[in-house]
Amino acid sequence: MNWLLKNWYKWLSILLLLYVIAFGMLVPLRPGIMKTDTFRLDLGTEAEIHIQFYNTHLRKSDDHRIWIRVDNDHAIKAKSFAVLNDVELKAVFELPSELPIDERVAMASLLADNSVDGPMVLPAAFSLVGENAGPGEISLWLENPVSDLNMRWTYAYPWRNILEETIRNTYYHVPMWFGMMLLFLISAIYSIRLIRSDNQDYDSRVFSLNLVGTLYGLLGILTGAIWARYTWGAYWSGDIKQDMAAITLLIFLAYFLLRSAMDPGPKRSRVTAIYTLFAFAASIPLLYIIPRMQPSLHPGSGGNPGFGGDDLDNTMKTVFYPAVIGWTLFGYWLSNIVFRLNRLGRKTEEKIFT
Amino acid sequence: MKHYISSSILNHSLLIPTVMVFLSPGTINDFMRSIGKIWVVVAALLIIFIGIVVFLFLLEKRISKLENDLDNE
Repeated sequence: MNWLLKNWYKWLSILLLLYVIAFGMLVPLRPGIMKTDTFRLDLGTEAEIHIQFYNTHLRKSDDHRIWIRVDNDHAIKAKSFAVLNDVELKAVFELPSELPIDERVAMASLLADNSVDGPMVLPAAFSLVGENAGPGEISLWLENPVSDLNMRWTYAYPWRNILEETIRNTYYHVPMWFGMMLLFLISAIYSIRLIRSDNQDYDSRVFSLNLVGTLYGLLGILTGAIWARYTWGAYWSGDIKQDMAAITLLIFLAYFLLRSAMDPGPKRSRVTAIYTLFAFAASIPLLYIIPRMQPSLHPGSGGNPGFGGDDLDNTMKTVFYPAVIGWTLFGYWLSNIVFRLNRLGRKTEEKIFT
Repeated sequence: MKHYISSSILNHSLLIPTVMVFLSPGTINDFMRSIGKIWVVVAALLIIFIGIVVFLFLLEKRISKLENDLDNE
């Protein structure tokens, strides 16, 4: 019992990570619209559109409704449709000859709804091209408004176009960075304690926390690169947050260079502790301030924190926050092993040389 | 024996192009994008797992070094 209590954070981290991996991988995605075969729609024609869905059960329901929606008030409902299989459907739209807005071209989204899968939307699905500008047959656009959607809560992660299943990486890639920052924070606290007391155990703490924090950062960069390859199109896009994260890692890698360049002793521990404080202070603007002032592919650029809406809904929060705590505690466990090894090494060297 | 050799040659002659086709970038991209890009998540988990395992191996190497130092004292 005592042993269990003494290692509480190790058990907790393992339990949390088991929960995070099981629920993060097994909970399904909400049904969604994957793609259509047409992008340009000419007004005044009849359009047959082949729509591909994801995670839907189209054959189970017979109350399908499909709209092409220009804005909140103006939409065209499909005249007829044919369900091909559970995830494919062909819809026929009779397009009015004029746009409801005073433009020649308008972006429109595709909306689908049925009682089994609930409402689904594909934003910016079509470009409507009209010969005549100006409001004409507006009444056609108002006849079948988007209404009475089958909204309901399901235990599933949000469907996001382009992201698709990779939204689950929120539980594995993002906590790497949260964990890294928390480990660096503890490391900064030990640096202050070292400078105040010259206790060499704190030097081992700073070293081990920096080591595991840097490992987490490297894993964050690598998992981010593979995620970016299949969502943004390239391993490295020169995105502001990618670049700033790389700079942060280089700053912390320099800590190990500095440390290996000096002879062991109180002087080295003090110099490297002060360097750690500077590195930690630099990492805050690099990771949390500059990326928010620049346009970025990451969510949360332009001043708003990325956690809101469909990027991290309430269902995802039930896995994401345990993931952050679990990965951080696991990182602290790893750093504790490094700490004990480093401390032992120092003690034995002291024994050898004195 | 002859039959065995010929079948093994056949197997290899099929195996090599199969492996080459699978390893070509187009096929890997198609694979990674299948089933809603779920393999991207699997790849991320694998990277984390391999990273931690490599870290543990390096740590063990340091422990061995320390053990040697103590034994030679």
